[in-house]
Amino acid sequence: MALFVSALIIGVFLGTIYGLMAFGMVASYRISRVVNLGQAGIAALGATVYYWMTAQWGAPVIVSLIGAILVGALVGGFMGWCNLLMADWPKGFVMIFTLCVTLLLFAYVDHILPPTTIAPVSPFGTGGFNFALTFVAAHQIGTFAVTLLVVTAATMLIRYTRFGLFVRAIYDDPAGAATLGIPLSIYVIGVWAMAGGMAGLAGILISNRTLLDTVLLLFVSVYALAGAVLGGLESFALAFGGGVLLGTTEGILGGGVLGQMPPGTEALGTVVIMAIAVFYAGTKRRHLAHLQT
Amino acid sequence: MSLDCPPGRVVGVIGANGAGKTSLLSGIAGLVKTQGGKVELDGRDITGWPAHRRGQAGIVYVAERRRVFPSLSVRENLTVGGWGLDKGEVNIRVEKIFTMFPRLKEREKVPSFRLSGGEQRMVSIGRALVTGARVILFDELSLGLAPRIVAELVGTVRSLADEGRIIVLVEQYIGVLLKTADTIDVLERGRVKFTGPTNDAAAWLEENGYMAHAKTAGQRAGAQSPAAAATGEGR
Amino acid sequence: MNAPVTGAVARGGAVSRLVAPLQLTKLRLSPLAVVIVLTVAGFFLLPNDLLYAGSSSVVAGLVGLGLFLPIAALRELPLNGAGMAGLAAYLFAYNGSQGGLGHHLLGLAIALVCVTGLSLIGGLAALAVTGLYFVVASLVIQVGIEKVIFSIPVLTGGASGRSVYQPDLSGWFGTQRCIYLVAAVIVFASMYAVHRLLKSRQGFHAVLVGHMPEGASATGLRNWVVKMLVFGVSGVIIGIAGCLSAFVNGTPPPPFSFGIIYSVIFMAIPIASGMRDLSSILLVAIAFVGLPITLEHFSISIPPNLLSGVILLVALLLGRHRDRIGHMFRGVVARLRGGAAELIPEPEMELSGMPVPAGNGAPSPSVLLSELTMVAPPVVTDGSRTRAVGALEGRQITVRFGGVVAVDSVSVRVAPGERVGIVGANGAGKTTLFNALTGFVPSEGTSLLGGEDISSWPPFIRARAGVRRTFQVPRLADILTVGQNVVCGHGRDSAERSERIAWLLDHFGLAAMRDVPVVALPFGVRREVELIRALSVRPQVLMLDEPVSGLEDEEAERLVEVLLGLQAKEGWGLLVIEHDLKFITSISQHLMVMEDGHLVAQGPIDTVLQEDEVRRVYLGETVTV
Repeated sequence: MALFVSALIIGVFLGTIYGLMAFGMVASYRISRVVNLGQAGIAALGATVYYWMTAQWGAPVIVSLIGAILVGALVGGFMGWCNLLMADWPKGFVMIFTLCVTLLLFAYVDHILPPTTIAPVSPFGTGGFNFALTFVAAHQIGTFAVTLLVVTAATMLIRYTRFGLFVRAIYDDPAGAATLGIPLSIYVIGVWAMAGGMAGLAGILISNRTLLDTVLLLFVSVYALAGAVLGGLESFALAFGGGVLLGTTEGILGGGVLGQMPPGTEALGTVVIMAIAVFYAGTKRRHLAHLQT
Repeated sequence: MSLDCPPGRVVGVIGANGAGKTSLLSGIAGLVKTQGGKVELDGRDITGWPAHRRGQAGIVYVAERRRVFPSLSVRENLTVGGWGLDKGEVNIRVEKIFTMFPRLKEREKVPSFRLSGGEQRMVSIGRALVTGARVILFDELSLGLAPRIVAELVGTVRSLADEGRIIVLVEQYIGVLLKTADTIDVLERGRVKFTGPTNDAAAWLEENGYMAHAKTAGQRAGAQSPAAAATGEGR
Repeated sequence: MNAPVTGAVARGGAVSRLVAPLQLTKLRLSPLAVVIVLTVAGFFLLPNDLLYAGSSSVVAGLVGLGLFLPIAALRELPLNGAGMAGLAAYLFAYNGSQGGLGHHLLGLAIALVCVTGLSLIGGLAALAVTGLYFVVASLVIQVGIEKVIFSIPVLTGGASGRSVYQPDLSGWFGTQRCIYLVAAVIVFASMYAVHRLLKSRQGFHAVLVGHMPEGASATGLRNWVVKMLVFGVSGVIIGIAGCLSAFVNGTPPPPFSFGIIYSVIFMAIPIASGMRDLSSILLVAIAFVGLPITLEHFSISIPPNLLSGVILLVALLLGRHRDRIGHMFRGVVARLRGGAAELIPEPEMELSGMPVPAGNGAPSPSVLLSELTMVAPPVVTDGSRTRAVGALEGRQITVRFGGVVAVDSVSVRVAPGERVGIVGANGAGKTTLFNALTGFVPSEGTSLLGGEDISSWPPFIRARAGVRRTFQVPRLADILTVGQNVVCGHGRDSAERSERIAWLLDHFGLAAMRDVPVVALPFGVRREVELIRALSVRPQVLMLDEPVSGLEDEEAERLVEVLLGLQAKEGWGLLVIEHDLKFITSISQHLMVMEDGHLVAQGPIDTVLQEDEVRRVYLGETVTV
């Protein structure tokens, strides 16, 4: 039971972070039709900036947090701007461009970080409590709360504000929006910046638990992509849900809940569940098949 | 080719599939790059302007078929037209559209992909009006609509022009144009074959055997023909 | 054969204006030449301890080559390249680790079979889901391999790995040089094989299936078989690459180097190469894998991520702007040579307007017709379901989209030798009726061919049975040439078939455009290409959707002549949708008029056109003018 609960907690924790990244991926995909692999690099950069500000400069946690998110948003916005320049490129090429951004950011991060692996301090302190014989870290609770808050706020922004209204109009029909006088560039850059900020936050939150490791962050972002796609790429709530589903599955099956089993068996479960989910989502939403290379 | 569009007039353009009508309108609206030629508004050269800037200057393109924002509700669709205006002003304008098309008021909160073709066309016209458009480019206003709806829309278009707007109406069939247009240009393979007042145009079309074919039959041009070099001159 | 040839030449002349700049590619710095020079130079010049860099980049290039196939032909992005390569490496090492030739070959065979099987599973996924969903499905496969199979220590050989036998030819080449040679030979052989495949009919089929699935079905291709074939070949190549990686390293690399990250990078290699030719893939791979190893060797430390990021970026820009860069390069060369070397104009891909109609001696229809009566193409059937020529019949066909009834119990019959036209306004349901008859949309009612109920047949079987059609927007593989497009289709490649196609190309005046990519053609000409594809085997019924819109008058007339002549000879039925009344009266005997999904009138063409109802529907509200 304790094992199960701890696996579940780890799973929900991972899932919320996948969801946070997936949210940004969905937003940038919907506005530019580009799979945004830059999220991984921005996450690494955000975590690094945060670490640098807290550990090296001794800045307050909240200031560092905001600083890191701003840096993430800045890089995200820059990618959005590049996207506008590459408007007539095949989308597959633009996707590779976002991968380049990630690799370059990784290089920068690896360059400025000390060679030993580090974990940034948690913005929520080191406390925690016991629940059903399991220690729940304040970081996990805080992550869950903050992520939920951010995603809700972003959803509200898209759903109920005028900015969001124009963004949704561009999602539906960019040419139509342009001819009504809406300058696409502002909104494209804005949405990519939002996605970047979210990735920066996700990077900070996950690297406290998993150490600041660039390769791992790329892994996380690929999982986030899977979550986003499972959620159908059209719906934010579903993308978030897809991320949580993936994380929880991984947590439960990878946490040895089901007792001692030969290596790889738990992972098989993840694979089967993911496969079922992708086939379910993919056959239901065939209209998303417009990925071009 | 050139097109001269004075305010308060409905300029009709007729041509078959692929005669270059849509390219012409997209060129004026700035959605495709024109190869040579000029687009002028009020004597100002706007050829280099991007689409959204032309939209802000009052040139709005009402595309054929279902070019509304499908996932947005009717009210949201109309509000999108109010970019750059303050909230109160937008609300006033949206309400005006609702008095103009009472049917839209009834379906205010309905996602617009659920609307019928005629209602969607009303939404896209309304959307254009909320922007305060002075030039409205209609691509195939009557396409896929029942005759009753078309008659209704034709009246609307006429009154829009009477308010001093520039209206360009592109059609495949001549019926609608005969009722609304002041002048008609016959487009064939990206070139203007005839231009003149509607009555003369009708006579010309009949003379040249187009009427028998209803559409300007025999005009076939490559869909890629860049007929977009247009001169849309305002006053 | 004089007249049609004149037409062809005249039109070809107009098009050659469009094509001429493309021939300048010969002047371009050919990636293939660069690759060959690099490889040969590497073999002779590289020091022993650097040969490894070359061999490793060859492996990466080979994986990229394997992934190129589904990306280029099917437009799917597989994210499981590294996993498959790793599996091959481990299986090869595991089965071949005892040494000895037999075991090695056995290991190779097992590895290839398993990896191909896995690739086929990816193919199955591609049948069910496409686009981004396929990306995730392939990711699932990758995770499965990585987490499940790679966690079996026996297979991966534990920490030290499992040593793979490498030939020791120290007396002759030296071991490393020999390995390099083997790798290079394998990669060039694979490149040649893939090149041949892409230039073969099977390759065209794959591209057609990937770009226009409906077009492929309409030519009788079984799409899933073609897709599986592509994934199978891709699996074999990646399998070879995997085995080679074990061979090159001496032991298979650790599982980490076959992780998701490497899958992403392997997928990036062919895309960043610009997706135009195979040798560029190898070039990018050399830059991506070989360069870091070389730099490391000379103890120049550049962070690997920085290097790969920059290389990808450069490759991407090079691939995107190759024409412009090639132009600059030629400009520099011209200046260096000095003298009056003219700057060659930048290749202009913008294709404006139609080919001008034949200026000198346009083929007069009567001449053409007489040609036709003298020479007829060989009759080719695709050999699958040969049956007597029969009528195509739709009884009470109804098609619903959601609540909308697009076609409302329309019956239609085209007997052999009969020519039926369908007219009606946009949205009247004409094309939907076509789709129902050819099986592209589900419908109620019965479709019959020669009296046999074909209602449950999928489109490709109907096409094989002789229901051939064209589409309003031509469903051609745009990146292929005219000649490549028209040979697509089910059935054996035979001399008769080629002769028939040549005859058709000639008579439609397209003979000179065989090697022009379809994307460069005006719309109307694309329609003709699709028509030729549909006619490349003798149909039972030919269904044309607006065949002449986008054609010049003379071309339309020629089309009518050729169609009528061929139909008279071969006796198939013809069903045509067209707006153009002049055309429809010249080609059909029987006319059907549709409005809002209903059939409002039908009968012999002259009588139908006199009906008031028809005049109202077809002429809009203009009768009273």
